Amino acid sequence: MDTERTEENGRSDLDEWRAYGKGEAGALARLVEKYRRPLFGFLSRFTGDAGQAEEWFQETWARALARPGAFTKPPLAPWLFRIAHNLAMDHFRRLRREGALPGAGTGDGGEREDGGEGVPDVAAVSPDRVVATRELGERIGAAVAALPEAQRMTFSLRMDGRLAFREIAEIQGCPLGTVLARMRYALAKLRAALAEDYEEWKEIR
Amino acid sequence: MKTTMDANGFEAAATAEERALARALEACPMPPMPAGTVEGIERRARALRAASRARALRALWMSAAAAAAAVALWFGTWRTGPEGAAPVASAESVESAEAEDPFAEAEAEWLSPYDAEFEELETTLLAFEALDFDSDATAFPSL
Repeated sequence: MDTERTEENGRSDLDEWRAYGKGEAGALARLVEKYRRPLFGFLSRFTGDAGQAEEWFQETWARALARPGAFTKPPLAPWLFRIAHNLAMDHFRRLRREGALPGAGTGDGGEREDGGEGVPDVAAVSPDRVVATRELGERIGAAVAALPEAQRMTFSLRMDGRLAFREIAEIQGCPLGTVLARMRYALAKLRAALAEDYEEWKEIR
Repeated sequence: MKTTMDANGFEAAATAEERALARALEACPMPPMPAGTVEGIERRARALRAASRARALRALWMSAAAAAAAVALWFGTWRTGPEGAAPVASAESVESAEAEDPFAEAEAEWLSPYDAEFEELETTLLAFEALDFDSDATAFPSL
């Protein structure tokens, strides 16, 4: 796959990665900048806290850099998001062990994972869970934050990471059909939660 | 920096709804990357690598120790024989082992300043043992 080239210098992610390995410090800075929005967006959707997201963002890159030989075949994004996903999952597991979070459902739509409401209660989302967003984007972000964990992961990996469903399935360690179902249920809940916004959004799309 | 994030042909493969949602989310402002982020990442990576090396070294040390223990066990079995007979140690081998004692020289050197005191103590003890307290309690010899 050769569609990961930055428009600035025409280098692929792998070229940049290797250049950094040879001591070109700027190559890492360019990669970090390139993946800033998708990776930070993905992480902040889970923690809701910009400081924590920043911490995870740095940790994700550090873990990737600690194993430079692991990235030999593009694309870079699925590998990075896998590391970020595992960080977030570790965090959730820890919270669950400590009793700070209820047990997570599979997010496949068969069960009520959102407190039995079926449709996320956007108004119930605390302000600090809302990523700095604007108008429609802000409301979408809030609705996404109210999705069950697995659906939120799937949605965010797809929307923030622009990953293929096959790659999401590998990251989440589940069948492709499960991922597709999670995405379908996530979109259905968003449509219901953002019915009015969807009308507005349809006009601008 | 303007970049191409369409690494997986998202724009082509996604539904219109997905594309529009993605664009709406992308329009949200993003907090700027704090200064020193890249340096922080490199620092963390170095720490992770160091920790990984330390773990590998510890694992290597543990396996070496286990191997040494296994060899010692095997050697002990070989010396005692399969029935667990007591090790055979001839007088020559004991003398030889004592002669080859790597600590003997260091020990002698370390104790040499006390030789005179040891001798004096030994003389005192011998004299004390030779006393006959029952015969005459007042006849305590001068040491």
